[in-house]
Amino acid sequence: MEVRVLVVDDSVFYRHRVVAALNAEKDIVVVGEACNGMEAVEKARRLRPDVITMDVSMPVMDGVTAVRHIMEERPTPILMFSSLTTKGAQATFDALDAGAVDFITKHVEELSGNPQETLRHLIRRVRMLGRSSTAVSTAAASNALHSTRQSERRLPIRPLSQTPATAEKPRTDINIQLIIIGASTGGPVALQNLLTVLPKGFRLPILVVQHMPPSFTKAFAERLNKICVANVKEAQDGEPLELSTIYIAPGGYQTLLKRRSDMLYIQVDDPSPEDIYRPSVDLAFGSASSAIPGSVLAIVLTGMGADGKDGAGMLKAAGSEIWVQDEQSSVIFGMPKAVLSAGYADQVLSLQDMGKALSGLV
Amino acid sequence: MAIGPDDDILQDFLVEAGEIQEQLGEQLVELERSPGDKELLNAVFRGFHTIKGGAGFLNLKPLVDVCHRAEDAFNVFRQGERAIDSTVMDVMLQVLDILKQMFADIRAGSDPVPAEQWLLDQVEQLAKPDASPARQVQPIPTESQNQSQPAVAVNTAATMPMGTGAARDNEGVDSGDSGSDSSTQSNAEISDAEFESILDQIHGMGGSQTSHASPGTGDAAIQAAAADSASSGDITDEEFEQLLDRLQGENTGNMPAQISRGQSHESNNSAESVESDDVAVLEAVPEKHPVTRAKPPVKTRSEQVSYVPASTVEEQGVHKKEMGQQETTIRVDTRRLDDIMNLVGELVLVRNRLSTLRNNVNDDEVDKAVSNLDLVTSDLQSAAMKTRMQPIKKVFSRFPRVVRDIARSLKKEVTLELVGEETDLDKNLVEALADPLVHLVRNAVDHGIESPEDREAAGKPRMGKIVLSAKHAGDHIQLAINDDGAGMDPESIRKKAVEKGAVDPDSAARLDERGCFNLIFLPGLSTKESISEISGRGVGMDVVKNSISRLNGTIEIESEKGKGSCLTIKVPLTLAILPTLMIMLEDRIFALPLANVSEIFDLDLRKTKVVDGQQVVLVRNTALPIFYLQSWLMNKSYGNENAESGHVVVVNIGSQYIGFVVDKLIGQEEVVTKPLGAMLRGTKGFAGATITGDGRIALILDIPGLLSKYGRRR
Repeated sequence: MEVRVLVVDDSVFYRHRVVAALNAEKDIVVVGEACNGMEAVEKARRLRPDVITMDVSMPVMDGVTAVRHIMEERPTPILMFSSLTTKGAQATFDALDAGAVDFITKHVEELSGNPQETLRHLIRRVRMLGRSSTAVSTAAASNALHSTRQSERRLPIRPLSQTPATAEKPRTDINIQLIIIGASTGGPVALQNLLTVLPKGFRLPILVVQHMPPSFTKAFAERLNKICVANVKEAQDGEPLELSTIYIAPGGYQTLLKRRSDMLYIQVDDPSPEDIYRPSVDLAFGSASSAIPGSVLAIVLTGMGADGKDGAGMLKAAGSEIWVQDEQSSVIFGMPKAVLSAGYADQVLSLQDMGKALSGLV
Repeated sequence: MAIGPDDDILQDFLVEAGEIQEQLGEQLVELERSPGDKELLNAVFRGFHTIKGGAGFLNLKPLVDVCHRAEDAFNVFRQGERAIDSTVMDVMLQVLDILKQMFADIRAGSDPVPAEQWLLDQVEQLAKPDASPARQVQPIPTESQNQSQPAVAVNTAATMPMGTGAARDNEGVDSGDSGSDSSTQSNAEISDAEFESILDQIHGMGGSQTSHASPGTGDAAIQAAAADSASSGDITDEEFEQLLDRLQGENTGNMPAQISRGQSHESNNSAESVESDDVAVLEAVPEKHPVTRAKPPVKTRSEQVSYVPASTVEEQGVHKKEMGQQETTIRVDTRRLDDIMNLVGELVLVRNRLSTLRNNVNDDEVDKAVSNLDLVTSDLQSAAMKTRMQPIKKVFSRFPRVVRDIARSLKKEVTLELVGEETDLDKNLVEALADPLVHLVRNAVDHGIESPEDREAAGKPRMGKIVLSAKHAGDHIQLAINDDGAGMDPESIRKKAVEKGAVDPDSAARLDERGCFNLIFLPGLSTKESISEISGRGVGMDVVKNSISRLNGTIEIESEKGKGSCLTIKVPLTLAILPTLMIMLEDRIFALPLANVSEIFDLDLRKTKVVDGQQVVLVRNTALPIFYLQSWLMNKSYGNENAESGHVVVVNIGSQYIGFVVDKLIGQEEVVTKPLGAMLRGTKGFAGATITGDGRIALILDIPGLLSKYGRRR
């Protein structure tokens, strides 16, 4: 079945390029174009597309507002076109908050300098989102989750105390000292939902390896820092791990865990040219498997591809615990599936259950 | 460049980017009037952003470089971190000029020339906020938090790293007040010596910078200008204007910079409060209430409307409408429209032919069918014509900028009011009118509007006013340029014309007021004592008049001394249909554009005289040079000059009158002009061809071209 796409952009030129690229694919068809958010909302309602590509900055109604409206009316996987700058990051996170599932750079010079490459990238993402049966429901769910979280934030009582935790307790036979979370597509929202439910007494350090462009990770950390109980920061080379701190692996680099005498340190390395993912979940997992064998809880969240599978294998061999996000709550059940199929996963949890289980680690 | 100018994608980009660039010109000038208009700031930001996006896609790096910086700057402005002043405007308008140049380069199939580094630097400077931004200061963790975060050690909790959690960077502190340093030191006036040295630099050394520019005189501008002209050696008018602009920009740089510094604290506060507002909005979101949520955009829109000066409210309305309607429009290559117009033209000719033929066929049915065809064809013709219509706004939109620039360089205060921007006319006309209008508007500011001091002395408001208007008037478009300036003095024009030898004193004395005004259309007449760099560009009013007549239009002047002037231009709705006078030479038909024809009379050819080698005839005591069209067009050197009488068609070009002797007059006819075939295209003296009702081909004469080709011996 064809993936039906609605393309939203105020630039005629860019819209034409995107439409032409998508229509050239046999399995993708552009069913409509909109030049501002208002039109996008109206056409999303009328045309019922499978996927929407959305520009951020538009006249009449901007992309973020449009995402909010669309997700409210008829949840649809929305791919944001953003600018990979720090200010672009803010808008992108706003859009993700509003319910967009993924983002992609609009500016060729920020990716590879090759327009065709940018478009191929776009096609891959659109196809993936269009095919993913869960993307819609996940988008809706995460949006719902998101709104509950927002209202919960004003309550002094943690949500967990209201609903009985049904998730299995994690294995108690290992002494978990560090949590590493790997995520890609759909990850920012999933992470936000996961990390914000961690209670005040949660002291285990967490390293988050989210596939993200360089300029985004700092903004992402700042954003999480505002809404999480724990201290959230972008990981820096050479800093020792501290309790009650969440580290975001900086984009464009490889973040590794190193051990010097009795101390655990973060090491931020320049990527080697063949690295596809910067940061790579595999490398982070792998470094942890040798630095702190058997005392890691590794979590693989939603994402395309199979990054994290090999690292999870190494951690598993060293005796660590591996959790993966379930298909139902994943935007893209790629990375979790890879780990699961390889037989490394100890638990398959929905995002909500995972939050409860993590909170149970206190 | 990998992409040729014919590339569809590139064309696509150029069309959109060109439109945005034009819009930006308007928006920037508007912004100078209402610098706080958030909606406008966002629109400008988006404009640069969109161009950058496309340019990036096409790997047009020089374009990306410029737009990227401009976008950054406007991001700062729209966050309220820096105030917009005229210095900012000057830089941004230069950026627009560069963009325009780059588009032209690309259109011409060459790589765009990168912008000069100094301009890029200047734009970059603008992107730095006035004061150190408050938002970047992060909350410093409390003591208790610090203490509650012991280091994690493997298995045995032991060591404690130094500087726990205190590695807060303090970036952004140093980016604070460097924003305006380059523009703050300068003198208020340029002395003669300094001016000399500038000229020296420009002419003499090209790009090399020398030491004799006085310190503190806007060195940067001088060097920049010098670098500008390095390639060409000579300074062009445009460069000179830019130089003036730049120097002025630096002179005025002092004040705004200080003001904005004083405001820095305030803007800090507002940045903070904006942030907290954001949070409030975020928290309010979960309350599902679509109605309240839909409200904010509506509100801001109405606010914005009340902001805008009255004259532009209408224009904003059009904008909004356009945005809403964008979906119902498609872009069509103008060549296709030309094709359609052409085919319709053919159809009209066939129709005419058929109408002629039906007179030979006495058949009611045929009559009816032809009448029907007649009707449908006419409708089709006007429908096809409408597809080529464009609002005059396309031309008008550049005038706010033009007026601003000139007024600024002449230290005048002028407002421009645009009326009837939505008036539609043929696309070709829109383009053809651009240059004459620019010239006339320039004139109005330069010669028409007085200096603020003079105006005050004359009891007028300091601010001069120019109204540029367009409206439909029957089958014509009427354009008017009204100014409330000094008006023209018929006597001084008369005097000047005689002095310059443009008219002889006797005929000058006979002219009435309007006749005197019309003298300014004579070549080589400028009514101001000294030629300024604004109007005196070697293009006179005669050129304006010629280009208007080429459009089959007319231009009229009304003026009252001390009250102002009004120039009225009338042009036909379209160039595709031309009213002509059909004439015959022997058995061939020719069409003379009616706009050029001023009168027709029969002549006793024996009464002609030869003056100075030129055959003339006296008409109402004026010598009228006459020419035998036959000798020009029929390949006969002498025609029938020995004929006793002939018809003389008096045509006017500019202010010149000339008589053409023709064999036979047929009458007036509206014809569809067809371009000449490739072989004949460009033949001087012929504007095109048409097919007459009886199926014959008639060439349409281009009188100025004809004269320049054959009339040399005058």
